[in-house]
Amino acid sequence: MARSIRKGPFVQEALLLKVSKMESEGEKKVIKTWSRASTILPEFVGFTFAVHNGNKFIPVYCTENMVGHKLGEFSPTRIFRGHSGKLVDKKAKPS
Amino acid sequence: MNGERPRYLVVGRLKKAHGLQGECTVFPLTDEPSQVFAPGASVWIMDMAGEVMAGPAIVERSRSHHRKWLLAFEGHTSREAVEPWRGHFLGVPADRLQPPGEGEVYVHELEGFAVVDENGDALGLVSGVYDLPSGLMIEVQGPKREVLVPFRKEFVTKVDRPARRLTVQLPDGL
Repeated sequence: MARSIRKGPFVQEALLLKVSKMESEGEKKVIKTWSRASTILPEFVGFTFAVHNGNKFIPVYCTENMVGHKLGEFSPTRIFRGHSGKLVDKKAKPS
Repeated sequence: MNGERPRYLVVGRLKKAHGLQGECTVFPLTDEPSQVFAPGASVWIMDMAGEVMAGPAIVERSRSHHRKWLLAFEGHTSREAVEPWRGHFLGVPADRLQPPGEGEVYVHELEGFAVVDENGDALGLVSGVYDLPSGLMIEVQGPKREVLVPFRKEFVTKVDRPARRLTVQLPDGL
């Protein structure tokens, strides 16, 4: 069942406070969090969260198209490493 | 000829046969499928171990089909002819593919790259590359611990492929 619109999106209060404090001070530190259920708000865009996946903290840099999703969606708890080390024609560029 | 075997890069995975005319479904594993699978292009069939089994097979016709591609090869006009290739890979010699551009790198090459900060101080070596929902993530093995760094321009400021070096800018707390 979907969450009630009246309540608005869930965000851990401490997380929201940290972001607003950093925003007012103009600094951009990585925010460590265990709150995987917190929704990414437009205010979070440009911030980096270290989201715990049960084992370690995965850095998640929030972009505009992540708004509305939960932080936990970007910190997988299982990693598929592929079947073999084949050399695949896939290129990457920091974007 | 120097006798050295060319290095093949995987460009697609062969899935099931499609229809009765020898067409084959291919899941593309390349950034430029329209160029690699263009009619007249040659591709090689590779097994699970990455060894070349057959080829070159010349693409007779190709078209994209949802997220996959449908290819027909010259001389293979029946479903039975392409059915044994199911589950295998398509490869192309690396020198026939477009090389990475400025600031680009093959994902499989990233492992072993040296990672330095903006001042040129060594941070460690890339020990792993993960394709996560938020994008590519590199694992940097430092002298004390490993650090995960998103492969984004906000963090990785320079890619020097010939020198196998990445320059990164780590924010406080990473």
